[in-house]
Amino acid sequence: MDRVEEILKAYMKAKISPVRMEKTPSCPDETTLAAYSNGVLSKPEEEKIEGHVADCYFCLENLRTAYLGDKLYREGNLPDSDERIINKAKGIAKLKTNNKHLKRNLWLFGTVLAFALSFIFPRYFVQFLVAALILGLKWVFESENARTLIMVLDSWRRHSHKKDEEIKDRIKNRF
Amino acid sequence: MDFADLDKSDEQKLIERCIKKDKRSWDIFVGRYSKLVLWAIRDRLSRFRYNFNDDDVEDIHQEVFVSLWAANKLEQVKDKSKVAGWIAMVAGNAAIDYFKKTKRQMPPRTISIFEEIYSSTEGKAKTLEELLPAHIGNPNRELHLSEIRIILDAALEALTPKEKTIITLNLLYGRKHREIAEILKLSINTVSTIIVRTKEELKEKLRQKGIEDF
Repeated sequence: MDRVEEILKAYMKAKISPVRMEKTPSCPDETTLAAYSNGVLSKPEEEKIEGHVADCYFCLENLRTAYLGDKLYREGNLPDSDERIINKAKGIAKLKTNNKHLKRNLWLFGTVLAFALSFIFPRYFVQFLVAALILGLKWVFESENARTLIMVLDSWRRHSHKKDEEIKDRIKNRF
Repeated sequence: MDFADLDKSDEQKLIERCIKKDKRSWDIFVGRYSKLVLWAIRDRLSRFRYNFNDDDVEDIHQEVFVSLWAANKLEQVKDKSKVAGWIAMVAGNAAIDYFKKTKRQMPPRTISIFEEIYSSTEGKAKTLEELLPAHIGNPNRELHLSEIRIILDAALEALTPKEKTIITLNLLYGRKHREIAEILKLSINTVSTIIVRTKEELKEKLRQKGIEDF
């Protein structure tokens, strides 16, 4: 290693030492980084990632993991795995999957049902109408858009830049 | 079974069938990627210097596959014919999240992972102060250091993001020119040119400031 290299390395090392290796709200997700790594992003998207990665050691670490992982996988050079661990992971297929749509639509179904029943049984009209209202509200507040809107309003109310970043991150993670 | 020769369409079909919750495809998928997930978890935890045991690794491995199956994470992949890099990243990040959530351990300061590279390749790396020749005494010493820092800062700021990443991968990550070219999808000549040019420019700037004896 020559002298200039040694100087540059020492300086870069000193400059980054207080930085924590942590994901920030502005970090691209694994999918975007993988797309960058596979060279399938558009030029502007690619430039955006490059601009971020140049100053983000967490993302750089992710790119390193993707590169080495892909290389070792293709070469078949990965250390062996325990058969018991593999079988345990295979057993996951017995788990129920997250079906958010079905769960959300249950509230809507309940609302419509309660509303219809309020006419079928006029004697309990008010009770069924209240039930329909409660279930309807539940459906509205469970929906992605309503929650997103609440988060945005919450952000405006607080007028805090840091909170805005957190909320943006939460919205981003939702998709 | 060696998966090195799998063609892209085979890989893509497997992922698509897993998304559609085909259990036989899932078994093949787990068998194919389990080793990679384990490697990525161990690699990330070692580099970040977490104290971990086999139980931690097993728990994280299980969490990764749960997120892929039950939370439909595989749907997010854009290029389904090439998922190994993505899976390795997901597993590495899951390992960090696991330690943050269950053990309340934060990731390290950046420097610790680079120190590991130094200690394995060339012993303890020197600081700027240590690199300054002993004959330069105070107060000249501080003046020298401050001038050098300004020059180095300007040199790094003048680089484009891609050039800066190349220098970081080369000097801090210890990656070879060929490896950097593969990571950033560049030609090896471009990488070598940028590294050599940056060093030459820096050398010239130091010389212009009369800091040749650094």
